[in-house]
Amino acid sequence: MKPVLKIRNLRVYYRTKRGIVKALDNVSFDVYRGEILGVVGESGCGKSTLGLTIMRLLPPNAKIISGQILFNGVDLLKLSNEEMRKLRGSKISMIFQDPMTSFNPLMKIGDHVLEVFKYHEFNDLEKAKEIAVKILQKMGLESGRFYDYPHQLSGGQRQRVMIATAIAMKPEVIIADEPTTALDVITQAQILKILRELRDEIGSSIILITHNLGVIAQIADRVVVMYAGKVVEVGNVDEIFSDPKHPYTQGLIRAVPKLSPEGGQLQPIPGSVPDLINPPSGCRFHPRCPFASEICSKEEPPAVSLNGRLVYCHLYKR
Amino acid sequence: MDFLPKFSLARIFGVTKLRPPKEAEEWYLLAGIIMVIIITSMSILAPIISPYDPTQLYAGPSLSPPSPKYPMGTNLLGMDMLSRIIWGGRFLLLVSFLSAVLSMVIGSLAGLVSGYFGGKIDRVISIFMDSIYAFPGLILAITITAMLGPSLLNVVIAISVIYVPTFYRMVRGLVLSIREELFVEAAKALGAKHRTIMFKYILPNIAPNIAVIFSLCIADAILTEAGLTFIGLGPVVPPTPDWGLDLYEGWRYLISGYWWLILFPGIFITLTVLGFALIGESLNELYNPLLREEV
Amino acid sequence: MGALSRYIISRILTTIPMILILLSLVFIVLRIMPGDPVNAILGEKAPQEYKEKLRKKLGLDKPIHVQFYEYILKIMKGDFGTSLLTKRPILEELKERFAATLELTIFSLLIAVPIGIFGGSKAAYKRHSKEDHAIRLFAIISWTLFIPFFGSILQYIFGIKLRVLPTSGRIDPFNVPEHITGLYILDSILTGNVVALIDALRHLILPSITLGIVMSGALVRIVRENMIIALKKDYINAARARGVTEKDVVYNHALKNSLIPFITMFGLMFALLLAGAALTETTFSWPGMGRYLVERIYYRDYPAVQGAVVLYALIVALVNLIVDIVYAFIDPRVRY
Repeated sequence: MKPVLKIRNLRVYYRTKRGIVKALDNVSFDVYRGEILGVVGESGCGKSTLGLTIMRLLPPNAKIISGQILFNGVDLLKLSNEEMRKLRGSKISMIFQDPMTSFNPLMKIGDHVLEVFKYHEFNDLEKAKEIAVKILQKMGLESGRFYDYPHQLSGGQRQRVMIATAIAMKPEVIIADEPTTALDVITQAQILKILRELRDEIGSSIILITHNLGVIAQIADRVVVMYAGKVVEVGNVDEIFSDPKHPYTQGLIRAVPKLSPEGGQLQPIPGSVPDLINPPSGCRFHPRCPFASEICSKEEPPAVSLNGRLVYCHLYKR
Repeated sequence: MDFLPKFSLARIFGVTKLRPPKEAEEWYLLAGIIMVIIITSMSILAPIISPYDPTQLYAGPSLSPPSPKYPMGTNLLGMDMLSRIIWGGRFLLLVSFLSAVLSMVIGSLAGLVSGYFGGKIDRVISIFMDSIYAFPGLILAITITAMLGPSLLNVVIAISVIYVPTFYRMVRGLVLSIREELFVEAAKALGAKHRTIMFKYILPNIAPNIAVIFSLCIADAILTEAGLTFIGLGPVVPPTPDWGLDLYEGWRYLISGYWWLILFPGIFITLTVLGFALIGESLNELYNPLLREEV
Repeated sequence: MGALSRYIISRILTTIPMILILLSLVFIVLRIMPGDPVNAILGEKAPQEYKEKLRKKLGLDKPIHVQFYEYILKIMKGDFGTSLLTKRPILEELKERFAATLELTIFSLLIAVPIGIFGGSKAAYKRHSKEDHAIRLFAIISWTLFIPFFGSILQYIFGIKLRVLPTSGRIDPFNVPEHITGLYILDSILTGNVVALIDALRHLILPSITLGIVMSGALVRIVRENMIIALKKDYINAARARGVTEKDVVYNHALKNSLIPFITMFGLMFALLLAGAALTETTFSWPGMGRYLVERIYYRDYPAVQGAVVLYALIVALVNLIVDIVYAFIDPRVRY
């Protein structure tokens, strides 16, 4: 399988009043064609920054220090603003987290979908409208909804419209940033089902960013585990869930409440998420790691390849 | 949000240590504070630093342009303009400050009560405040002053009426949003009295916003007071030195070319207003949650 | 469209109490003057029978609630009373003055609004840049300018030193165009009177620049603040993610959305405009409502003062109502 997206040594920092936040530090991984890749981690681990960086939609105080994002061989970080704009929505698109605030309240939802066509030189407005209505219907919305305003739709319906705008031009990569976090469990399941069907029908790769392991378990093929701005483990979803290698991944999976008859206590990971302005030296997880040794506080762990799994941990060094 | 702050000014703004300004906003704030301090000091120290008695007739020749002896020239009655400028800010500052304080107290209290208790009280007070708010401020001040008679107290009252709705609206809006926050519910659950919640919990959190409006209010009040004086309804009469009065005189004599009579009072009025405005605007950029940039 | 009509009706119903409150306030304020208004007009030593006549004429001999009732009734019929000074119907005098103030405010807005919208949006979009600071500096200096001072500077430079523009009045009395609307610019265009047009424009330049620039400072501030808030919204980045160009993101998405709070503030802006116009009219001897008010206060023509303030109240209430209705048309959240 060929990677559609290759991320290499990505470093993204934010300038803030309190100092420089090292949000993404030397992040590398691949996204393969047609796969659903989960990116999972706690709040503040950099996963949202990752999505915005790929789209080059970072806020003004963010700076991409170094790295490459190769999309079909082309480094996105070297493109001009106009070249990047042409890719957005047509080849790479994004589904945003909060459906309540991600729509222009003055614009009909149908016009939101039409915008994607309008800005990518699709001049036949009639045809565009036809396609838009069809996509909305496929998302389960009646054709009359085309003329509604966002406030007339529920959260779940809006999220479907969001997906509709993201897939309108059949992009190769769809970045879904916490697409179900703001929704109830039932709607969540529906949206996830839609995403999976999309991948099957169109063949887009989906980067699914979330903090919810359950969502990953349901539809992701592979997963990237992130902690404090770094990648700690990459691998196949089934394998990682059954045999997590990195201590953080182990902690994450152990922390999920289980509905077993014996009950038992919640097992959170001790300690708290580090300050990204002054991250811990060496391995960023070492202050909370039950297996930490001296080298963990001194040197950053290398990438260790284990049967298709990638772990960034001193424990697995040969 | 630290919801049990001590009542110190610096603490309210979250300033924990003194340090030189880091960003542009802080420079503007500093500039504003310095301007206000200089002008206020000048007004307070007037008896000491004024070279001449500002009402002294013929301290110099009549209507003479700026010269080494009279750096800002003299007016029709030979009074030294520099001395008049040094003395001239007193009433302006006093009236504006008093009006702003009066508006702040009445408006904020009304806003607190209205926002916190809601219901009929809120509706009645609101429609009252909205009516005043919609009305042109200067016109209202002119009318009230004209009817009450232009004394210091009446001008203060007239001007404060204008700004009460401004404080009211802002405080009420903030109270409405804070009212829903968890720490207020927690306080209620702990059995806190309404008075305690309003003054110990909600008020400290909106104090920075009130400070912003307070600064801008003083700035606007100075302009309103000068406007009243220009129209002839001010609290001071000649020969009292007052920037507003001197500006009016200067305007009348402008056609004869005596530019210095109007230039200096005008500059000083503008600088004073600018000082307070800079303070208000920079505080707004720094502390208004809607404008702040986080991460 | 049922929601829209319901909204409009409810706004009209809310405006009525507002007008009543304002009119009552005017009534109260104009009677709180310590001392007897009749004494103030005629002087203490006037003969008693003259005082009684005036008291009767002003209706001051009737009980207060009857006075109030008649006052409201007369206003509704359009009877603003007669001026004690000129003996003319006050409404007639106000009509002329109103046209003058209207012309001044329209031209000032023509200057202030473009500066406000373009300056404000540019500063918001390029926040923290040199342009942002420059625009903000301009805005803050503009609104802190004392109108009589700024106007005088312009009068001095252009009227006295350079002698290219007139410093007072609205037009040379010989050039007054035929009366159609009372707006000299409009009337001279409609009657093809070029001389009047030029003269009226020449008189209009300095006062409108004065008021316009001072207002623009306030407008830039408001537009900038609302645009910054709008640009932070999630749907802005979502639009970019759909491939919308930066230009269209700013104008179609951010600006349109920030115009809504801007329109709701327009009522307040208009009040500021009227207040500023009063000072501008005094500085430039412009025969508008503000100057009328000041003049009549000086001459103790209390019925005229009352009439002017009542008119201000009615204008303000009407403008707010119109603003509310326009807002309803623009914001779909109100309609549906």
